[in-house]
Amino acid sequence: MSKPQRPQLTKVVLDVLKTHEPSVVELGKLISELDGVSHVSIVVGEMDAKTETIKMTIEGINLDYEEIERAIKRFGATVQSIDEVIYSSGR
Amino acid sequence: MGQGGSALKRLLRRLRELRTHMRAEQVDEIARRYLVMNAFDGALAILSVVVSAYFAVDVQDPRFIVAVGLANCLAMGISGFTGTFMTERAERLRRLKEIENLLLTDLGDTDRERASLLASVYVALIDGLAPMVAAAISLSPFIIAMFFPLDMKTVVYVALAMNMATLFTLGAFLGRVSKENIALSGLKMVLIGCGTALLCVLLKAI
Repeated sequence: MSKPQRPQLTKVVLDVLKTHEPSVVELGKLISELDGVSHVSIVVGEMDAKTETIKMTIEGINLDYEEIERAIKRFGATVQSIDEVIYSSGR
Repeated sequence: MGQGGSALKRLLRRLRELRTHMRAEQVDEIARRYLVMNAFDGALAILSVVVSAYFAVDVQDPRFIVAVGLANCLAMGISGFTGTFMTERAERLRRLKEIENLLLTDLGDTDRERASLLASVYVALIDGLAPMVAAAISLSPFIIAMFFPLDMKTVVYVALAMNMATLFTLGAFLGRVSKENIALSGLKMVLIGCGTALLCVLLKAI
């Protein structure tokens, strides 16, 4: 009997608050360069004079959530909530 | 090679990220403004030193003009760097605090904070170096004359020509930025230089 694989994070959807500049293009590029990330999708939600709330969907293999959160924080944005998470056990 | 290559890749990625934030801070536009403004200051300051020393006081020793000119360069450089750094830093810190309040987070140890400090240093360096470089260009014939026996009159006219060329280049650069007539913009700067030189020559009457 083969050893069961550890569940891997394959998708996470985040609600992020950021300023208009640097743009979502730059944030998307930054996140897409992280290990394991294969797709990044960003949809801009609410906007006011200086900030915007975005819905960020990150997909890939064996995603490291801590690293993603660190990268977003380093970028100067904040994760407001985690709206969806998908783990895959590989079975 | 593999480890070194990936470290280099990481470093390049970090630099690109910081550059992104610096662009968001509109650093290039501010630096460009300071570059022209302060190089113009430096060129005019040396023009006044050369013209008043030679035409008004009849200085024949190039060492005198180099000493006064370099002291001027240094003072402009120090004043440019420190003044701009402190002003830019204060403005950027205020903006950073505003963003912290908007995002309800601490931006310490983020790229935004690092870019804010880097932007202040970068802009201050441009502000400090621009007048020094502009002034050094016009002083270079006198520096050469300190080591080689050259006719002082020729040296002064070469320095003035180099000064006018610097002013023209700055004007042409502004013309290119504003997408207007480059030659006309350069000539405007040269005219301001000629006017300044004329006023300095008039000092002889005092």
